[in-house]
Amino acid sequence: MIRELVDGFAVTWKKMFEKPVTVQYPEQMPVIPERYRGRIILTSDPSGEERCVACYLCSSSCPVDCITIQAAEREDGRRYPEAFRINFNRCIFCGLCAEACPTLALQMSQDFEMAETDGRRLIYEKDRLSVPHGGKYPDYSFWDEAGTAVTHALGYGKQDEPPSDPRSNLP
Amino acid sequence: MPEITFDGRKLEVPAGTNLVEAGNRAGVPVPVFCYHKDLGAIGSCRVCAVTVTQQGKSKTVMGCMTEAADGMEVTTLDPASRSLREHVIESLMVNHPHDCPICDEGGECQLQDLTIAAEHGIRQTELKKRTFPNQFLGEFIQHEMNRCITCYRCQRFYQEYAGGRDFGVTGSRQRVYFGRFEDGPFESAFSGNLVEMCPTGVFTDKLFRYKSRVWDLEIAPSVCPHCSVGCNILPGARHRMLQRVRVRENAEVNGVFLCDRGQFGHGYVMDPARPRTLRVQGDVRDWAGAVALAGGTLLETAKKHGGESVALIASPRASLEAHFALRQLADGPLAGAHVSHFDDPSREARALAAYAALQSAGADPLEQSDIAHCDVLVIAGSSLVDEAPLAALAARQCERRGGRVFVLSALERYLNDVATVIPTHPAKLAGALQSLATGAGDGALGAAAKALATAQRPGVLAGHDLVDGAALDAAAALVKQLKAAGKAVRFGAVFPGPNGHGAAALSHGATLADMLARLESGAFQAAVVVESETSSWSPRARQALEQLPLLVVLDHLPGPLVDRAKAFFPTTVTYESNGTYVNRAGRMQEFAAVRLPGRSAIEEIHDHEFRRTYQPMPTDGDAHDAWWVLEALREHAAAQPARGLVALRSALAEAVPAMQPIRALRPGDPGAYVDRTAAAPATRVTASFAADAGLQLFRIDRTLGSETLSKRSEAIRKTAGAPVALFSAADAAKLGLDGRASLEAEGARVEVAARIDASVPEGVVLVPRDVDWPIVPAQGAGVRASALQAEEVSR
Repeated sequence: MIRELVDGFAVTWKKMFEKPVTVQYPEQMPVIPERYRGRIILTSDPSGEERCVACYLCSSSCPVDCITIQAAEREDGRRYPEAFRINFNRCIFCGLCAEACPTLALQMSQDFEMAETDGRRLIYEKDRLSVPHGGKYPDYSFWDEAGTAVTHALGYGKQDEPPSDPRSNLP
Repeated sequence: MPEITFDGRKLEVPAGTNLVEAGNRAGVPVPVFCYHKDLGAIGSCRVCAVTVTQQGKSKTVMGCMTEAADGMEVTTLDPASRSLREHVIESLMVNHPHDCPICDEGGECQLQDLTIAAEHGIRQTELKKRTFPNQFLGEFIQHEMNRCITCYRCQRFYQEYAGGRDFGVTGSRQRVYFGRFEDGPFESAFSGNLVEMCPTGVFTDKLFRYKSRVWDLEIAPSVCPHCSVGCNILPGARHRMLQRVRVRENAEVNGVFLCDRGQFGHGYVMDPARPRTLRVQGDVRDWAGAVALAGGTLLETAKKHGGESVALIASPRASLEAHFALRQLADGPLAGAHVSHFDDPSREARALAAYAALQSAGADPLEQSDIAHCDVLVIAGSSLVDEAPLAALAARQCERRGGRVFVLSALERYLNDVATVIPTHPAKLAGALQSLATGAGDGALGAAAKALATAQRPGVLAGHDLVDGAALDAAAALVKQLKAAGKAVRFGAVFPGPNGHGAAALSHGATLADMLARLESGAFQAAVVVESETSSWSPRARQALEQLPLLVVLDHLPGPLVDRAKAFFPTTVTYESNGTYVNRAGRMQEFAAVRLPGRSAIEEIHDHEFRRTYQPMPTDGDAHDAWWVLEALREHAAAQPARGLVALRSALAEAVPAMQPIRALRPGDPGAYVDRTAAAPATRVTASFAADAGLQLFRIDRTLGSETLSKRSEAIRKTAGAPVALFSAADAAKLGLDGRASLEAEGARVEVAARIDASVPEGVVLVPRDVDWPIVPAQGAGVRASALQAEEVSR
């Protein structure tokens, strides 16, 4: 019994001289890892336009159905979300939506300070979700790769050949 | 029957079955892109590769191009064919754009499914992707040619199956391009099927563009309300908005095809002008009060002026349950009330004549699959593509299978290249059909009579707008004669509206013309009008109806009656209701509701009032099924308890023995025929067109633009364009026609665009139903036509 006591207090004694891991939040800000799954953001592509194409993959992958989207078409042919709503009352911050996002638009940020006194304030509309930067992937632009003429003329995307002439029979 | 082993499963398949179909029978789906059971096999995509072992030797073959033979061992699991399939998919993806997130086909794309199935995820080539310019293909279909995998399904459907000429394939090697010769809407009435035919996203539904993902749609088995064929459909709704209509397979009715009217004609459902709320004159605001008021006033009127002072009118676009509930309203205290199941007197007479002819002939029904399998098909008095588009598509398949098609009609604009068209004046149609029976005709008529005499499985299909009672009697006599000769003859007719056959089956004789006369003379005190149009009535009858002391209107379309009614009850459209339609061949088909009536969440998004609270009933959503409203009225007018759908149907089955099969019906079933042997003999209706020495006017349908519901859809309106009157070349020359004509019939005058059609016989002017007449002339009325000169047009 003596031995157990000595062993136990030895651990206590040792820890007394180590640097504590506890952070005095909110006086002191903790260091948040880069891959932390915090408040969801809708990022912008390098040209500053919204990245989201309203493909509904995030809302489909959401296990708690907290994302509501309505897609629409802009005059230049760009598909975009006319409405984008995340209900953070329901969100479990699992990150499946960010993983599903094919355009890298929806990302998890490091922000976790979202407490509200009114639950309705936790329903975020597009204006509160959008950010003017590219998040973790500042250089990617979906429309340059997609093969659809929105940010460039048809056939002049990064992966495209110039348009071929369907009326030509030349070899 | 060859016996084969498919992935270890032994099975017998019919001779001539290819290995893809054999795989389906064995429960092993073989991947396909270019193969389609209705379009056949061309072996162009190479993705159906399977390994076949026969007499100890195995090789990789294309499943769709190989017929099953006795003793074959087929496997899809062999590494050789498996790796071939994987490479085919990978090579198809070399040029496919990286745009699945914005492609409307995503989620129901065969290429997407198979790419995932083949586990091809990383593009291994640095080659650039070939691109194509896209075309503007009208209001229905979006073209995105970069996604093409050259399976040729679109071209095979459009040109070979549907007989279209304005769409095809151009280019060579990897520049093979599918499109029209120039930008513009498709000429074919079946272009919407390209969406379904394309295994990827080259052709997508423009009305559904960027609205939803297919997996988010709520769907329900429904029946198309746009003509009497009764195609099976799957309407899709989301956010309380009807967003698209897709085909639901029914091998006998529509196969896997739809016409453009059915696929793109649903714009009237979400029309902002649609009356969605209860309107009652006075201070009643709720349903219970409104129903009590209307029902009570009906009862009072009947007590005071007798049941015969009440008029009850429904139209063929109302469900069978609504028609029956309306008929039952005339029992009890309202006994003696006048009932009509049609809203157009001339259509009522012809529909009842058709019903009587079908019944007296006693032949088997002529469904679309039967049309396609006839060896001789006679189409009498119908431009089939305008009246029943899918029946016309089936008639084309009849010819493609080796059958002969004869069209005796005043107009034919779809089957000209495959059928023998005999331009026939509607008033002379009966004579032509009689000469088919006697074999007295010469020329084309003689050839048709000869073909019928040697036929094994002849079919006779009567139209609607261009046949009269005499012609229907002649057709029935012809069918009886063919039947007596021991042939497996089938007989069908086209009816107005989706439920024309059902309305005719419930009718007790043609009553509407008499009712309109009584209405004009002021004999009615009250009327209940269910989902009906009054546009074909005389102005006096319309006025008399609006001035009745009690006018109860049930409808889902905007119109003058909505505002004039003492009580207006909004009803649900087909997609929002439960009910039954009887199609033109007598098949009862049940449909189920897919969405709640009311304002959609998407409209709220547009108006920035997207609600955050959930409400089971949407705003402006107080419409009910027409039969429900009629039952509620009956509760007050006849002191009978209102019945639910099941009770109403069993009452219908009891009251009308021919409708017995309705008891076993479920939504999504292939449907069941009305038991015509149990039906009470139909009242004979004589409605004949008198031949006239001068020009005679006939109102006709056109595929797009004339049908009551779909003409309110913006896409249909834009595609259909202005109505055009059709003249024969001889009449046009006599009048000196130049693009426009003035028509004067029965004191009413209209100006319309005019054109010559080669199939129109002399003495006939055909005017689409969507031409607005101040007074609608009778079918076959004498007409004075004159050419409008260019300067008159400009004025």
